[in-house]
Amino acid sequence: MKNAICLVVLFFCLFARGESVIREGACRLENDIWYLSLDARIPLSADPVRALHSGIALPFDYIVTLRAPGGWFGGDKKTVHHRLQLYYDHITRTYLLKDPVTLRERNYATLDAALDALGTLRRVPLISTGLLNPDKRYRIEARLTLDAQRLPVSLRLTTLFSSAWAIDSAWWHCPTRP
Amino acid sequence: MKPSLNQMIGFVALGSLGIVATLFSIYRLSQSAILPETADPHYVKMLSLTVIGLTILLSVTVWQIATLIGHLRRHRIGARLSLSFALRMLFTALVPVSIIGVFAWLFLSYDLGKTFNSRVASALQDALQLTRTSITLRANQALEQTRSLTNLMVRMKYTDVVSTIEPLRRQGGIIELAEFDHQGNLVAFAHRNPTVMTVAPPSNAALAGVNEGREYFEFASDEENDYTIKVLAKLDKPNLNTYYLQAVYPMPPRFNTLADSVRENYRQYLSYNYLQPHITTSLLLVLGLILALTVLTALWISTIFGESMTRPLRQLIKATRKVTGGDFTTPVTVMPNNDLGTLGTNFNIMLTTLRDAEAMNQRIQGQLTERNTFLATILDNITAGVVTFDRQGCLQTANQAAIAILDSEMARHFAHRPIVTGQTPRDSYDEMMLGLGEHLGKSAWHHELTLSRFSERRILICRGSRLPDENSGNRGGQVIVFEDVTEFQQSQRDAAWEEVARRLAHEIKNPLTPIRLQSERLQRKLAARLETPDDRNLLERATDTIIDQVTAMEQLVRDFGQFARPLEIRRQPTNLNALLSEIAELYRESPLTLDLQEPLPAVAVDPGQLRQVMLNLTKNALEACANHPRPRIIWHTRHEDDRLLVSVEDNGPGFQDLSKDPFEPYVTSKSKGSGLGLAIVKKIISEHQGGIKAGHGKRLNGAKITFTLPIQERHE
Repeated sequence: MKNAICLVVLFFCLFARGESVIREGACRLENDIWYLSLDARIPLSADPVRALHSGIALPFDYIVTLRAPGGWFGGDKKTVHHRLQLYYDHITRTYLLKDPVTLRERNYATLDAALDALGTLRRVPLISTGLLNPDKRYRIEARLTLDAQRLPVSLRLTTLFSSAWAIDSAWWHCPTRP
Repeated sequence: MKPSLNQMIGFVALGSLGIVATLFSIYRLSQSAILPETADPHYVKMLSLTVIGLTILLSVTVWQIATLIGHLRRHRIGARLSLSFALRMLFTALVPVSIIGVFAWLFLSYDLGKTFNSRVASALQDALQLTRTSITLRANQALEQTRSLTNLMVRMKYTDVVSTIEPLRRQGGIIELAEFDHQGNLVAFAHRNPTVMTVAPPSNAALAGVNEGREYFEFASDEENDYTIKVLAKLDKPNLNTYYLQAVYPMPPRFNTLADSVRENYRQYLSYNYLQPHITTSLLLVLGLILALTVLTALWISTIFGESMTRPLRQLIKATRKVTGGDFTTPVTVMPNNDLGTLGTNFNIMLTTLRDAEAMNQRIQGQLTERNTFLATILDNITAGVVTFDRQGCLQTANQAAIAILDSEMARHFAHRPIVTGQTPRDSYDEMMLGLGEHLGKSAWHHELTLSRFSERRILICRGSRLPDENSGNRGGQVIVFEDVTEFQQSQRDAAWEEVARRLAHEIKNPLTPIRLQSERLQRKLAARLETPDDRNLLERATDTIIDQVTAMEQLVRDFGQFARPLEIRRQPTNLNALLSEIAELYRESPLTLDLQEPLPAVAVDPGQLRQVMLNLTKNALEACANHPRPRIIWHTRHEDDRLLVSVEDNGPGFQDLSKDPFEPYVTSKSKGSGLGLAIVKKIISEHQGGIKAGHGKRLNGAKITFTLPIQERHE
């Protein structure tokens, strides 16, 4: 019965969403490579924190798109993902931020420090100008989300219907355009 | 292809699509649910596919149910049977599914961790605590080692630091040893990995802690993700700004292996504890979806089976309805090869038997109808009237001749008993039945009867007999056959009278002239010889009496002669209405009313003879209503078929006794006259091939004489 009630409550939470904000950012072209710097605030409510402390790695994803308008077939869109995993080490009682590509880990003594580090991107290379169509004007957009698809399957239902897990900033539009 | 078959194919196709889609997605969801810690990027897609599949199945099922309800409302044959069948199948499927579902729900909801996890948790907690103690001990060693290095390096100059930092690192078994100035700039460093070109400066939090005089260390990981201990210490070099020494110490390799194991096991344990309700929820969701799929599939199958399984029965019901409606031509077809098929075969055999019986029945009915028609035709064409009565004595049938002879409204007599003595007759039928009352109970009888109280005078010869009783129902009554012999008898009597008149005229006429002559001679010869006036007067009265009587007899003989002698009719086309109007001029002072139908066709008559007819009849009528305070006479003409009808009606007392023919000689109610007036009228009309009848008038309630004149064809 408790599970049934839980299902119903989850259903009514379907449309509730958490707030994550990219406060500021910058795009810069250096040596024919576009770099991105972002400063985001990531609120983490009790449920994800409890999951984190229970050994669940929280996958975050910076989605960066370079979009050139041009109708249905004339446009161009390139998407760059920058993924990071946040998890908790129960032995050292520290928070670790891991880049699944470089496998580099960084330890943080507090969750706030880890979230600050997670929300701070500094000079991340995006794309070489050679990969962009010189005749088009691109617009760089970025957003930070908790990538629910990489959460354990058993949590998917909860994340689908719970606002606590809906960590998703709105699109941030870069003022500089390639 | 029938619409219902198309609909059924649609139901099956869409329902199958929904079931396959839902089954596939539920299988994928269940596979994911049993690996709860792995990620499945298609989870939401599968969930959506499940919802779509179930929605399709639900829609198809609702559609089927709505169709079934529509059939019920339209009272379609077999709809209730289909619904009953579907409900039974659904009930049969739902009960075991519900039982399985409830127990599966209970089993899934049971928390196994409550029983087994407490000891495991305690062991894991102990292991974790042991690891933490070990790493803390190692941290204390690192702090102590760093403190020694600080004491050694606090008096070193920059060049000494650069030259001795690597030997110190190697000597202390340190991974990384670095010195920073007060601004966080790297002064010198040594690293186990010679390819490392720089090291990260200490964090602000670490610097703040050290500046406050506390010892600072933190756990970190190296490039191989092994545990390390990073220690930061303050170097208060004399006469210089503050410097910082940062040392990263490794953990023993065995420790890292064990710590990784403890960490991972503890993480998995916590993770399982945390995910357990979510796993249960996911499994329950899958179970719920499976139950929903099962219920909807049961509903879908039950409605489809209800529709298809009851099809033979519906066909049978349709066929039986047709049989009830008298249609034996539609056998049941496409029956299954089971008991229903046997039922259908037996039904078809029964149908064949009924069809044969129906054909025989129709043949017999046809024969009966033919016989009835034949009989009715005979009855309608015979001149005799035929009336039948049922066993209760009520009038059942009367043929056309009966209606014509009786000249009565027979409709009101049907299904009623005839009147009996004491009741007042209202028409000729009543009069006839009243006259035959004493014979009705007899098995066979005959009786002559004269109708005179209503309509025209008629002489009937009636024969009656009882109908056989062996046929049940409306038979077993009586039949009466009667013939109108009025004219036959009358013509016989007329012929006799004419013979009498002819002989009378011949035998009497001859001696009358000598008698008259001798009487006149006696008077002439003897009058002179008688002396006394009395004798002469006596002679004169006697001879006058003889002569007067002879004169009267001569008149009588002339009348008889006219009656007996064939008339010489000089026919000429005559407008009867014009003739009557001309004659009516003679009665301008009389209460005569003309009611003449216009126009009338010309009729070939002798106007002189017809004038005598009208004069005789009008004379009688005037005499009849002479004592009436408001005497009235109506002449009426009418065209009927191939003849003209002329009637003279008065409001006198009418015929007192029509049992005697008023057209016979010497049948008269008057004190004067020869009694040959109406007989001559009848003779004239007869010479015109017409007919004449005496009766009671319905308009003036007096006497009414009606004669008919045939309309001659023009070529004649």
